[in-house]
Amino acid sequence: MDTSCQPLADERPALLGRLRIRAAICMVACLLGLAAALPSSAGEEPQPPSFNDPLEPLNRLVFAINEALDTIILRPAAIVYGTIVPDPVRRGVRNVVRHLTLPFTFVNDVAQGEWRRSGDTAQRFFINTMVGFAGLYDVAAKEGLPHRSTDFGSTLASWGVGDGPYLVLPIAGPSNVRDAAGLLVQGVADPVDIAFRRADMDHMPLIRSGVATIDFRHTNLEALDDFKANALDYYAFVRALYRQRRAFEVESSTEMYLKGGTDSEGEAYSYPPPRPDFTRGGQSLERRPAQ
Amino acid sequence: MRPLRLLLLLPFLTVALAGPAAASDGADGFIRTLAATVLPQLTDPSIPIEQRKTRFREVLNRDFDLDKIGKLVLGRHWRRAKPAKRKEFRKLLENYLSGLYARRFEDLAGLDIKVDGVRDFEGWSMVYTTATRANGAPVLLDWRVDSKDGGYAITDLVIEGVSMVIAQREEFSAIVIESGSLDGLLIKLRMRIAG
Repeated sequence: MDTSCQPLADERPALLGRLRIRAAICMVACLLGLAAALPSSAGEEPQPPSFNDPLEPLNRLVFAINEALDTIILRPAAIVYGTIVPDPVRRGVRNVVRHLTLPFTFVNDVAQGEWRRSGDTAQRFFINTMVGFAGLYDVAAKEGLPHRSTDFGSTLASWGVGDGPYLVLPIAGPSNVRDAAGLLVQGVADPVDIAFRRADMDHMPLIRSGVATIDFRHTNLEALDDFKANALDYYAFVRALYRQRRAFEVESSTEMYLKGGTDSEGEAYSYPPPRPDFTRGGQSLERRPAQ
Repeated sequence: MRPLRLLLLLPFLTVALAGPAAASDGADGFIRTLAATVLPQLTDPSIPIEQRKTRFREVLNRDFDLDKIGKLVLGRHWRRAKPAKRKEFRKLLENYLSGLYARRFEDLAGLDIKVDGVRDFEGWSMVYTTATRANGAPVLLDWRVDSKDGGYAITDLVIEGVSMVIAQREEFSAIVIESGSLDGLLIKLRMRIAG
């Protein structure tokens, strides 16, 4: 009997194979995220004071490598970008980059049950595609539909997934288990990237995130230089910044009441309190006592 | 993500006001007055750096509650520290902050602060404002205001959802844990102040 025949399924398209691997990685990451977010079993001793950074030595190493890459590649690229590209062109680039995030934002709005917001996102996408020259001009913002972003990490948060331990990802930078899982899902599920790949433009997703990164770095050139120069412990400073910033973004994108968390001393806190949304209801001054 | 540039302000967005605002104005009145009368004096591009530092130091001691900020940013390390060490930390914090923020005010001339609202908590208030620079995106800037000496004093700034006290507390705490004692932090602060 000839057993050397080829497996029957060898014609599986390469893309599908790749997607399956990525989906598997993503599922593992999601499970990790869920496990990390589950409360520890009752009766256990309270955790010792920590920054929820059990991988700190590894994180610090990756952080140092990222910083080196930033110094030799990203920061110079951002400076060149700011020098040779005129301001109106940069604005157009930023508009297009943001525009391309809207389809996945819409998916997340729906997944979070944010119906009104998903409608705004869809409207914004159509207005800027049709009237704004494929997103080059932000016409919708002038019509009262400003840019808003959300991501799959926020969607997981709206489903009750906690953030889990702090992580520094290679190249992508500060994150946590939940947001890293969100990034992996975005890597396979972003409708715009899927469309690019279908159209055999496999390099476009990479170019797109490269441009977004350089634009972000350029926008924050001054601030990041200053932080780096003045922080007593830059790693710890960025970690604190990231955690609070994400909590704020997740809260405002899902309109979830931030119940607080555990601070660096291991103590529960609910500070700062959630910011009231003053854009709704038109009240310019609101006074109400604390709960 | 909005530009992080305004985060540079950290705790020092206020300045020299002639005496604390009257209590009847409320916490939002206090911030309004500071923004209208004191901020322009601090961001005036024509004053030399040394004068700016001196003005900050005055404001820090009058319109901020440095004792409370010191307590908040040290957390349990404050509770464990001896009075002499607390005093030393308080002095170093004042020097560190006034040196750090003097430079940051230089390019903030024309900063406009609009009060969005205020919420009262037990013993303190949060004043919510939006800060806009001449050609920049608006930034959400919230002020925690506690009462002090019959008036008001700022105890934290929350910039785009990031509390400066909590950020500073985590950074300081990391240094204390890494070096094994509060002295490690004091040494680092002293070195930074010396330049």
